[in-house]
Amino acid sequence: MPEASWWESKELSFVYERILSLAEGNRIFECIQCGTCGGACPVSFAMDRTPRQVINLVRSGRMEEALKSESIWLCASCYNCAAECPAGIKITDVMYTLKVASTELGIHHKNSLGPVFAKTLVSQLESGGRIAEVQLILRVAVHKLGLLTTLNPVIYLKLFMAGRVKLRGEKVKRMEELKKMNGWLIASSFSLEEKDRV
Amino acid sequence: MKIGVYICHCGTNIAGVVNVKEVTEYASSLPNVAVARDYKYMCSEPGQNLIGDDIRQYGLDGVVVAACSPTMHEPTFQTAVSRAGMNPYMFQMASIREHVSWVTVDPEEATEKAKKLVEAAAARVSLQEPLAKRRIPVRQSVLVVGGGIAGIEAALKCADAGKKVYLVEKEPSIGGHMAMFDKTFPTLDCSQCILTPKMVEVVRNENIELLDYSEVEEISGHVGDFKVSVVRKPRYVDSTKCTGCGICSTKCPGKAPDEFNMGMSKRKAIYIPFPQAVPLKALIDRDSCLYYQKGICKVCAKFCTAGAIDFDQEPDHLSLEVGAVILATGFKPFDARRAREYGYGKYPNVITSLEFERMTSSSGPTGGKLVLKDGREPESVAIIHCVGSRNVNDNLYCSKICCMQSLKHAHLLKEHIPGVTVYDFFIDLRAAGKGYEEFYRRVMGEGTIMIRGRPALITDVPSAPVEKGKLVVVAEDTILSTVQRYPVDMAILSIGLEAGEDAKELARTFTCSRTADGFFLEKHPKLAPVSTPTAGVFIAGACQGPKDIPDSVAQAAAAAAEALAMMGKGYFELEPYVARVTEELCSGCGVCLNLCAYNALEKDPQTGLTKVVEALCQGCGACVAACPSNALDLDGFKTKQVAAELEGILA
Amino acid sequence: MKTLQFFPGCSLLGFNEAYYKSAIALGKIIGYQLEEIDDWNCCGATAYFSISEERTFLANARNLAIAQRNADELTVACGACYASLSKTARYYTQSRKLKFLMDSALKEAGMVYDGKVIVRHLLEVVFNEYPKGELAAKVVRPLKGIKIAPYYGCMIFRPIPAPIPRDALEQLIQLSGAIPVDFSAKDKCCGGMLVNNRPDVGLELVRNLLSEAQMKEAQLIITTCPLCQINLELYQGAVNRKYDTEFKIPVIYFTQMLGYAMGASPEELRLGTELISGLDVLKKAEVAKA
Repeated sequence: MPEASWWESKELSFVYERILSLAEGNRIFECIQCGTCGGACPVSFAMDRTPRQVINLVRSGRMEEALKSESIWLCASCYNCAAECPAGIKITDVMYTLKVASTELGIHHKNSLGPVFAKTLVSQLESGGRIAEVQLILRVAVHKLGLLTTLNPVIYLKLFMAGRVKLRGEKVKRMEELKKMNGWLIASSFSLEEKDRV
Repeated sequence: MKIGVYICHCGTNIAGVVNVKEVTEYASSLPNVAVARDYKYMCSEPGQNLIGDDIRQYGLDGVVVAACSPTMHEPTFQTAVSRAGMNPYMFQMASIREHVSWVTVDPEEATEKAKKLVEAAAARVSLQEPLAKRRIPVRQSVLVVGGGIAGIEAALKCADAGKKVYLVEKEPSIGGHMAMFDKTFPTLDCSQCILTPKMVEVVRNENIELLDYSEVEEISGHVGDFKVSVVRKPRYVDSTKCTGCGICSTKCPGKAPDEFNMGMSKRKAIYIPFPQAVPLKALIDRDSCLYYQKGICKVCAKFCTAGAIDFDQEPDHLSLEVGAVILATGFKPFDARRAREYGYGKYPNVITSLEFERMTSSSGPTGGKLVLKDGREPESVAIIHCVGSRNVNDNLYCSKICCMQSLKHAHLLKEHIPGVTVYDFFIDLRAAGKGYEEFYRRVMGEGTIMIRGRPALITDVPSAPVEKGKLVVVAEDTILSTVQRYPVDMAILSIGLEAGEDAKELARTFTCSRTADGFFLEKHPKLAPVSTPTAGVFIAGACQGPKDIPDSVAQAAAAAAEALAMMGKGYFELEPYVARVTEELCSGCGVCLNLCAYNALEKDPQTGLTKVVEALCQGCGACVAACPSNALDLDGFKTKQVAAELEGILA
Repeated sequence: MKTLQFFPGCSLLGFNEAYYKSAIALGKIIGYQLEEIDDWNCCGATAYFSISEERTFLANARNLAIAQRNADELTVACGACYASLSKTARYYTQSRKLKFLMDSALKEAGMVYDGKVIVRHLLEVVFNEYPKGELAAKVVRPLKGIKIAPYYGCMIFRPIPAPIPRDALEQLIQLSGAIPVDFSAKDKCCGGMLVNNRPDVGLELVRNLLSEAQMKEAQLIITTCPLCQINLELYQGAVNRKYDTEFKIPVIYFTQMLGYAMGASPEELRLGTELISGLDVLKKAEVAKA
């Protein structure tokens, strides 16, 4: 695996290792920079870096730029890029890995609400085991009140009248199972990018 | 018995792992070994001279070389010893590179193993006997399968050298794909103009027997003496009477999509494939013929002044005997429907490069006019490279010719339609041939907009008024790093080349291997591109891999040269590894007879004992292993020799 | 009557109960019953993968381990749940590392997964398990003359394609007596959570889908995923405000369409809980018939 001496930051090399440890992760080196991914991506029109550019940033070691791009949190994980890529690169999975690093390190583009949304969803999941949609949306909206105005307030009323708004959701009874599983993960300090310990 | 043993260092390939001095010392201690040496490169001239000098000086009658694999250099050393006067079959190689130094990590283990292999080889050589290659006479005739430009070229070369050529073509006319093109890059020569004289020459040449509309059914025999059965498919028209006047076609009511025009126009049920067809004879397609389908009509017979229609014609079976075979069966174009996101088959104005070729031809479906399906001239056209190529989902290889073909199409569009906008979408531009880069610069200079980006999709759903009624190509311009929508009237998909539809069948029939991409396997990718591992069978043209016309012609001449060299020599040499029957031991049980895959064993009608047909025997040894009386043995691989080798290893 | 082990996912118990209820109603007619697996947890959708891929696989491994106790198949109705669960099941068999991760963590929780559960989308079950002739015979309210746009969404074809042909929904539409329109955006992204988090971008995707549906004169859009339904229906007003368009196309589930065609009552199918009435469009068919 090539390592560039002009890498920005040794601290971020773990992100690179993670990407390479993905299934067929080293295919990013086979990218012929054809740009099909950009054309296939439904949100590339709004991205500051096209998907192809993100791949190039990663394999050039410019990890911080990749993490700071608005692109990674605009990715909707629709997998169209990966399905069309003539080099068979799992671009969506690379994007996911960058998102994970982005939340871990707290590095992301200022416009990205994705990290807040994801963290909120996960905190609900890991406490009660299920998502309550209304609470999720409200908690996220706290960070950007403007979101509440996307929909006409009447809609919320209509939803309520139609009986679709469930204020209290069921919770998972045996949450300790999930907690134990996550506990193992932490205790074993398992990480996908380390060499096979299996 | 005086044996010379030579241990090669092979630079550090062997010496880096094996202690060659130790092995040499060990070798000199073995029985019958008169001299043992080690040297850096045994295959080099000084290395070979070492052996030659020793043979003369010590009167050696056996040589062992411990070096690379016999597949690399057995012939090299056999030639060296025979030049020094020793029989080449008194030689044995021990592979201490591929079998030892390249696969063993521990030097001590490697050295021990090398010693054993050398001991085994020396023990074997002690029991070897002088043998001589077998010579098989080579028939002075060639079978060329495929009548495209490569097949035509190969046939003409062999015929000019005075050999008899059978040219078998499965379509009703020769010419292949080249006959479909209009202009050829980079000179823009008219394809038909340069091809048809050659096609006509094929028919005129006395030495060539053109078997059009025919296919090879079976081939048996061996190099120098192949027996081929060919079937001539029925045209339902007597070729000897048909004058090619074409009246039958004009009167015929039956219609079908015209294959030559890629289905863009219709032909009749009785038809001549195209105006320059060779032979210029009609044929009937049963599926669209009213007579065969409904028992009516027969208008063609009524109007044919030559009385050439023959509804009851049967297939004709021929048996040919040839010395060599050249496969020049061409390619199959990539099925553009597999590139689903481009909408081929859904949007009428998304066409393939081959369909565009036919459009540019004045004898094509639009009379040479470059138009949309509704007859209007396009204002803007997109050309897309790499359709079906360079893609893990379709074919990973590059089809080589499509970049140049795309540029040619861009040029033709600009030439035919003043003011047309042409977008050329490429990933990497490959213009490596003679005059190709210059052509690329010229086309750019004519104003084609080159965009480096592979389109993700083509859609007819507009997102802005300017896109209404257009096909929209969505691609990232990777140089500008922006994703854009390009509204066009027509999109031309530059489709790649694939191995022929019948490549699998042909490979089986002619015992030809194929590479993973489906094309025929050459003997060596660098040094033997037109031979195959099967002696006497050669390949040329696109069936070996995607290539353009100059390369096809060059390969065809090369294949012809190979075949002619073989025929010129007059004989083919086979290794002397033949089965032999010791009559005193043979009980006539016949167990061996059915085991032979080459039909090389026969029961002698008089003695009732087994007889070996030497010319067919391939020395596989199956019969030797099976014989319950040990009556069969293999020259060069005698049981006692193999046993001695085993003992040497197990010692 | 087949029993399908069912994973509803959080959305089917929340905003999109209509999908759950109509799936049950459809099952009564064509011959399956849904048995919700015990004590399942959220699949994490796309958000969990953005926080921790390991933990997402673990959460889904728990669901698969639970499923395994009763059957070797797990049916899901939501596209995102289908993606998360099928990815987990697939990677379990393909990656030694992930298998080790899931096995070890499950063991810690006293659970076991042997890698044999097949994750199926409800659309695939309906399409593959019942002969088309049988389904057609059950249609008592043919939706004659109704033009319907089939919207598959992303997840049913990518990354783990469900084993259905690319015109499965079109076939079901035809079978119901309606006319499928040529919807080239049928597997293009609806925007997912971007519609909520980044409406400046997400709404454009919704508009593109609605725009084509309108262009192709679709009177109705059917979907296979609750988030797609929300994005396409709930946000139509927002799209109209932003782009000055006038979209008013109902968006219902394929189970509602099929169920209605096969005679289920609108109440059973929860038709009438949507904001733009799909029921009104479906009723037009009867008028045409008369």
